Amino acid sequence: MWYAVYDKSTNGLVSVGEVVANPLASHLATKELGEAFNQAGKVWDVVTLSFKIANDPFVESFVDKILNLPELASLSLNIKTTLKGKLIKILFEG
Amino acid sequence: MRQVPFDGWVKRNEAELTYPRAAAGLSVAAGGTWGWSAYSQIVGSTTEDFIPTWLNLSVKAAIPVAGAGALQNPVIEYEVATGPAGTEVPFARHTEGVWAILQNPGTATNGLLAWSRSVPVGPTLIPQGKRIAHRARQSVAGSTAQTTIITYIMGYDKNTPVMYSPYSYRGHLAGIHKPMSQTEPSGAVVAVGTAWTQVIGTTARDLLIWGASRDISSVTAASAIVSLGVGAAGSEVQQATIAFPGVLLGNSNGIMSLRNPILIKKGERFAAKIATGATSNFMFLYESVPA
Repeated sequence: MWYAVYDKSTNGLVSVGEVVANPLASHLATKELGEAFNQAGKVWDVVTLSFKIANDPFVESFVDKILNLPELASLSLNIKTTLKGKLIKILFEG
Repeated sequence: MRQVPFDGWVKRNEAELTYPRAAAGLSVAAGGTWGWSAYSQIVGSTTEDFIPTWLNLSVKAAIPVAGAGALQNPVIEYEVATGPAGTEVPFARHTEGVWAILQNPGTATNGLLAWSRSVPVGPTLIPQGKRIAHRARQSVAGSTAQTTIITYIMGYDKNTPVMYSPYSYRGHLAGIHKPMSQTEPSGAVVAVGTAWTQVIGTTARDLLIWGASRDISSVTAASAIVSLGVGAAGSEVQQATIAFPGVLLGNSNGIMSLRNPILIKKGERFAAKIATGATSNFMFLYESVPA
């Protein structure tokens, strides 16, 4: 199991890994991330206490070029938005 | 004839281990304005008593629109540590620096550059079963320049590499070997695949192999762990490992070197293969020692 270790006072991420200190310092807490976790391209959200895809203008620009190809012009905005998120995830995680 | 002490240097017959092992290099984005990023795990549990000796690092520096037009010069600190999440203790620190200007930027200008290099890490024994993690920070806010470090930790199990006595480091630096620094190939690159690929068929002299630069044009993440070896086709023996970490839109092709060069003896065949990762083109760097 992978864990995020975060500071309870700020919700800021302290560490990510499969092995967590025991005992953990009193100001720290953990959140389970699943059996398989890939941190590439993700940032920690202190509000939701979860990882989200990083706002990376370079990657987004790259994906936008693909989604704006004339061959994909018939796709709706909703589908393109969904595809964009999935493509970014695939690109980061390989 | 000059007398020089044997101080060990050129190595044979022990290839480096890597973390991550048989997997892509792992990245960590630097925290802004000297704020450390969180630690990110490289390995949960080392599989042997491990002695790190060398960091093979790639650096990706992104200059987004907000940073375009002005000098961006982030300084980076990078640490590698052992210990469970929440109680990591650093055992190595490295630094990098960037100098970049995007002139005449447009409204959608984004700049990216990436490079790589091998740097020493003080050898220290990390017992089997330890977690290794890394973190980074930079001097400027991420909104104007964002750096990312991608890593392979190179090292050995508790056995240190086997040194080849005829080549003394002090003697070498004193010039007694009269080596010539060369590349193979020259004016071209050699494509190395997952099978042993011949780099030099029969060496005319002893060669001290230092490393290689890479030529890869992929924009998706393309790490590569490369085995270097000697021997006839079909009976190659691995002598060393070099590793090139890569990340999405930030693969780097710079020189990755060995902490100790490997000796390829006169008459031997030198070959390379991709052990893990992307098939790539390479130019190898070595010193040629006259007979």
